[in-house]
Amino acid sequence: MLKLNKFEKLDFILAGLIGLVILLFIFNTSHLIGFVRDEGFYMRAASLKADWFESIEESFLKGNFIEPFRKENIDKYFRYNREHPTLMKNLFGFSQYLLYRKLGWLSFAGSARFVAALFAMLTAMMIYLFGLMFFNRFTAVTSSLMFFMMPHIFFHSHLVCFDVPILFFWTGTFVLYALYLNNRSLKLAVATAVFFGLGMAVKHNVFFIPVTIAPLWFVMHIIKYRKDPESAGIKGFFKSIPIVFWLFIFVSIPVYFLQWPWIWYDTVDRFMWYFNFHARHVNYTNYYFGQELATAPFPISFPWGMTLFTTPVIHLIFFIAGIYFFVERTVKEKNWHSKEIYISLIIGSLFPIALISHPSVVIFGGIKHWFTGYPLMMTAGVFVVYRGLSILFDRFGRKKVLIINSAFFIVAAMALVPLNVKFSMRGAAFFNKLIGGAQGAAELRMQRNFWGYDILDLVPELNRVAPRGSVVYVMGGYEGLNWNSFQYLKREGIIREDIRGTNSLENADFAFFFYEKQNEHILNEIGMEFKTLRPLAVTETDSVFYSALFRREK
Amino acid sequence: MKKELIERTFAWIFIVSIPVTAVFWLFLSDTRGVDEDTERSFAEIVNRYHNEGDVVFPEVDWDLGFLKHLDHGITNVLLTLKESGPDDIRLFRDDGAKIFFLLKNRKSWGKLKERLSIDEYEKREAGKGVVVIVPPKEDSLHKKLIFSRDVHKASEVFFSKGEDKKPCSLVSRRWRCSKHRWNHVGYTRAVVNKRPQQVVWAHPRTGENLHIIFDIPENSSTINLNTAMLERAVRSRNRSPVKVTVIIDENKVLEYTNRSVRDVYQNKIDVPEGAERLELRFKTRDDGQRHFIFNGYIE
Repeated sequence: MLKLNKFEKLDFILAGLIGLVILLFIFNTSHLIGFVRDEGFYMRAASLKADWFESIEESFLKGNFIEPFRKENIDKYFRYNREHPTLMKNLFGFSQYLLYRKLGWLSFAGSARFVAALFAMLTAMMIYLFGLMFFNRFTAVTSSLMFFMMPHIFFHSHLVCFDVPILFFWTGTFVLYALYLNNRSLKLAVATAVFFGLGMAVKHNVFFIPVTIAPLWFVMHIIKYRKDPESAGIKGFFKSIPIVFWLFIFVSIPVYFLQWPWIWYDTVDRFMWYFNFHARHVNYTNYYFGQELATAPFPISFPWGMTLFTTPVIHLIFFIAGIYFFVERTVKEKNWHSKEIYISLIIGSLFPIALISHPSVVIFGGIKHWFTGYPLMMTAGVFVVYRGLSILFDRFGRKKVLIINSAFFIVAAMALVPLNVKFSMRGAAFFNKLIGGAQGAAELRMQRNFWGYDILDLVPELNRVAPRGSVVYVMGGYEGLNWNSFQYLKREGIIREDIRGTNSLENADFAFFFYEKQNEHILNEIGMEFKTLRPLAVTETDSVFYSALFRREK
Repeated sequence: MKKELIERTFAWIFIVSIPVTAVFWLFLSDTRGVDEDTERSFAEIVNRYHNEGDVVFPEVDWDLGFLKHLDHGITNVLLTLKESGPDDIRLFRDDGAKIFFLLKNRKSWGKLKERLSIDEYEKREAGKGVVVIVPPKEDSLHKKLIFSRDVHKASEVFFSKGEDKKPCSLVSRRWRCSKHRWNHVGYTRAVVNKRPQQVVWAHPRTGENLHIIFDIPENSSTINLNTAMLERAVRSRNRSPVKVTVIIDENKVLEYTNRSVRDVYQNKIDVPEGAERLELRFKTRDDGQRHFIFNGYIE
């Protein structure tokens, strides 16, 4: 059994403060980031859910407690975007219902993005919990703050999407499972199962958790546990199955079912539709070292290479050190249950990357699909570096070592400021210095950006010069701006209300262009249609061109 | 002991990474772009010597500051220099295009010239860089009609089904055949079998014949016609081929099926003496993603 640190009163205060700082930091920088493709879908879904909450309120006030849950109402509010469960959309919608419609405290988009910031806060607190219990308070504080100094994490933390929430539930499930393995308490088993159920209710990534940790336990059982007299034989095998696995069935599945009204009716058909949608998910074309990844087989190195080149080098050192730590502990621990804990943490860290690296697994897009494992390995890595610094400066005494450690980490955080500032508006486009930054990545023809959101530097010029009633081409269908996102940008007052959108260049007076290698032909089409390639405005970082606004020449 | 050594090593790497990170992002991350003066000079040279149909290849294809200074009307800027080979350049030059290479590094030309097998060119200094202008192939001047360049000069473009004839109208040098964006006949640049080319977009409609009619210039001897499906068509689940028919003065001289594959169908057709009218006819049974193009010339 591992000796873990206790969560003391001070830790509640520290974790709460850090959470609050992250919440305020993320929510108050929301204006830096345009509405990504997926937000267009989820904000619309949130709006429908807000309608549902309104209908619940109306029905309940009339004393009718059944009406909102009838099939026709569930179909009306939950059919849209049924390719994902609704926990997050319900939360986005409830926030919109309460903070936008009822109280008027936040805007339409702001109310949904507030939920995203809340999940960033929860993630910071979860990292704190993991860092404190498995390592020390220094690691807990440092990791929970530095995690958000990765541009991709900073970027995704703002979005009305599922990626940071699923990162939170993925990490949380592994942390709780590790704690459960350590003391086998029923409370922790239930907490793990509830967490896993909520994770399934966010996105299907977590379906892989039991698929990996159950075989791990089985292998450990075959190698070691069965030699224990109590676990021997068939009866012993069933008795020794961790109770959390049973709870995955009897607690997690009901949690999952309860939060998703859509599958309350025609359950099998609707779940199979959902399952098949993801089993046959389309591939999103990506460029990787000049190679167009359009059809399988995809290079095994893709997610590993992208992790290597899209993580700031300081964090990368933490990742590698973290994996080293887990492996070292797995080898050194004499207790096999402790070994299982560390192997499960390796799985939690690396399985998401390993899964996407399979040549036949379609590439769904950017690193957000495998960054779920980052918090675990980063936190362990911070601890390894902390220990290494402590050894290096041991001669100065314990108190001074803490000061020296703090100084190094503060300076490291300061060194991360310039890159975070440069990519504050386009974190999804960040590449690190190992590849030469944005310029190096562009030169090597890596996917330059993702999700068609990079518009905020273009909009002021559009608003300034566009005659009333102008029409702008939004490049929908080509990794451009999502149609709903365009509407919400207008609704938020970011794009002028009278400007209309179109997906047809022929009808457009202006055009947004979002550069991707696979979409270069759109630049040509804009040029031919508008008779000019002279942009009115461009977005760029370190001289690398990302998107542009063009005007039709008369 | 070994563990301590590893942890110390991680600590050292961490310490070193701090100034390296700061210095790189403060001073070194933006050193490979094109400076403002050079961008302006690039644009000035292109503006001065560019004719319609010419092609511009910037060496640094991610720093497009020169576009800000480019005259309206110059729209053939291709970002595909890295993946282009001698055949790609030849195709443009064969079509009568002049090619501008905007080179940030003057020394790049030596290697580029060799890679693209270019022996005829003119160099002009541009700030810290250089613009290399490669003239069109001399024999391109003998081409009497180049489909991609001259498609707007077609005498008639229309769809037909039985007796029903639906004409396309010429708008901005393109033949528009309906309100749908894809439903036109006109010049475009496209990557055909991994090669960027100047082509004519000719997306057919389900069950209808698309007719494109040209007047054959006097004393013409040969028609070179290439047809192909674009990548999106090849990857589509719809595998419907396009039936190609070539008619000269009411006589069918060629007919074949362009399957949904990456290959370019290349044809050379003799023009009978005194021939006046060339009709290209395309038909498909299912128009879903039939991104179909043709190019070539009459000489």
